[in-house]
Amino acid sequence: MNPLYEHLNEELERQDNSIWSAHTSPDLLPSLLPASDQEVNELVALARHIQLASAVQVDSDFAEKLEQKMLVHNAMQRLQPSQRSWWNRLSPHRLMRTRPVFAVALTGCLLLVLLTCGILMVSSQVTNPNNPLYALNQWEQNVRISLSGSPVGRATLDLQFANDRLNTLTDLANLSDAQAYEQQLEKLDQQIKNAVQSINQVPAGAQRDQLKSRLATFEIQARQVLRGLLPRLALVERLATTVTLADLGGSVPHLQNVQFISPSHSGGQTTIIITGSDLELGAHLVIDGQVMGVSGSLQNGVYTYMVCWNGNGKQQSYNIGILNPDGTFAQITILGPSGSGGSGSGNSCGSVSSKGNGNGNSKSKGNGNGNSKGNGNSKGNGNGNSKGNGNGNSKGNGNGNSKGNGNGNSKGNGNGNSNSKNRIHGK
Amino acid sequence: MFSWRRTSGSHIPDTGNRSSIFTLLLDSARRSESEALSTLYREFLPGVFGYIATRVPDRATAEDLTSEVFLKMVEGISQLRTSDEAGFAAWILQIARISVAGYYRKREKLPVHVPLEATSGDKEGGAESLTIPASHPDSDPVRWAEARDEWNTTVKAINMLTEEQRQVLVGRLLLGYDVATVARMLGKNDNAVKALQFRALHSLQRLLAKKTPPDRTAPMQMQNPGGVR
Repeated sequence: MNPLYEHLNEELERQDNSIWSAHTSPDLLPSLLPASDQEVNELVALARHIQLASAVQVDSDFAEKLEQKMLVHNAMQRLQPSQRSWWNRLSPHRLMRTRPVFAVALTGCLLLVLLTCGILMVSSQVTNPNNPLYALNQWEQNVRISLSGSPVGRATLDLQFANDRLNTLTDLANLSDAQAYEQQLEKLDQQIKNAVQSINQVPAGAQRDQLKSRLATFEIQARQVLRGLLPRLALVERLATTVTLADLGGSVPHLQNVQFISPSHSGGQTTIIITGSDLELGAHLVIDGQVMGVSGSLQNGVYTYMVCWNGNGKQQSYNIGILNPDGTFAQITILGPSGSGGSGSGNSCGSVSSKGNGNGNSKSKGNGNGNSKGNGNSKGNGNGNSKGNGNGNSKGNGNGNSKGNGNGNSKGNGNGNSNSKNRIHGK
Repeated sequence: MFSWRRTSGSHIPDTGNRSSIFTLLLDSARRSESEALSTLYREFLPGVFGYIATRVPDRATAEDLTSEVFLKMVEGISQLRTSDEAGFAAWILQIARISVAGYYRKREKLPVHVPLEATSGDKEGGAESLTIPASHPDSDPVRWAEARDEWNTTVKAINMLTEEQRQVLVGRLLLGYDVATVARMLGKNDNAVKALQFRALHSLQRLLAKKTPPDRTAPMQMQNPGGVR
């Protein structure tokens, strides 16, 4: 500590006591000051000069008037309770001025609210179930349903959310995301069930009738939308959509039974008889997810198809399905006949193409014109086409095309063209 | 003149219990009790007026700004959080500082006004009200002008100090606080206040020596400006 600072302070304090206790005139200052330190003495004198300058002394008239003015102002303040109400005191502006922590906290809360609102708004627009915000969207919907007090409100929300799910399905169909599509379809189904349940809880009356009418309108709309989506979907998704269409009261195929009639002789065609409802003319046969390019005949709700059925020698279950021209698809799983080589479509089992490296036997019967290319031998009247690396023999009059690497034999008199590729069996 | 000093004329008993008495006084003032407000007013008027008077060139302005400060005190005291005297002094001097700053800000925007008539005999004029009471026998206009110029020089010099130096001078010289109280007011330690006090007076002496003609450079000669008292 600088001794001058201390010395000055001591002198000021000493002068304070001596001057003010005696109310001494500043003219006497020099005589009171010790002459030991001229610099400190000069500073003390300067301090006294400022302290006692008439310019800093308050005029007593002014002091009295100002005191009165201040008290009147205070009284006026007290007479305005409305302006000093609790609301005024708690107003954010005032609190922010007087409590900086409050200002920070308020700002933080506002930002949090804005952020939450922003996320909720964004999540409400999310339709893709793969989006991380989709879970938030679902949570928000569940919360809204939980918070809705009346069955009417709940039913209205259920219908609204069902509509959202239908829109989401359209987006997912365009995205070709099979898994997400199926999940969303299930949720649509569930949402409609919830809506039905909520409507049933509404007391009978005009409101309930109105909700029922809205539900019916929605179901019609949903059926239209789902049918419109069918051409864009894969078979698995079509199957799921057909089930939902059935739930919505739509007309969709339903399979009851499938019967196989094996050919009486080796190389003959297997007859598949499918019994069901809402089977349409021109429907395609689907075996284990493969659409067979064969047309059948429909009589009294029974479809009959003739296919070359070459099993693998063991009896096993097959998924037999019907794909209606409108895109709806129904399927049934059933034990199929045993066979050998593979199955094909067409009227001429001999024309079944055998692709692959196997040593299968291919026989063709018919009266067609056959050409034989490659290493095959053509006998008779047939114009069979034999392509591949195999050693094929073509006998008879058939028009069979034989493609593949096998050593096939083609015999017969049939007219059939067989282009079937044996992907199912016989490879 | 309304004369007040902490050691002689305080309106609060200067006992060991002064701190708790001041707290009670402040609580009453927060509840807008007139008596408490009056006590605070009388206690701090000299300090506030002195602070403002050392910042502005004429008494009329100093009085206007002082009025403004005390009206703001009445309006804002209910929201004041401090409970000790040093805190209150710091708060009210902060209001005074803002008022002075506002005055200079407004004055910068105003066009320069040059009065056509002489101000020495004008009752409303700054020179007369600055230093010379109407009843004072020394009514020599030359002395008025000299006193006015001298005080203006002092004001300009004080305005060149730092705010902390000014607050130390006000606290120590005008409010009559001890070093410890001024230290609490400024949030500093005692030694820092002593250093600020020395530097403030030293700077002031240097500034006045530069601005004042040679025959008036010595502080002893500057005392009693205008010949008052």
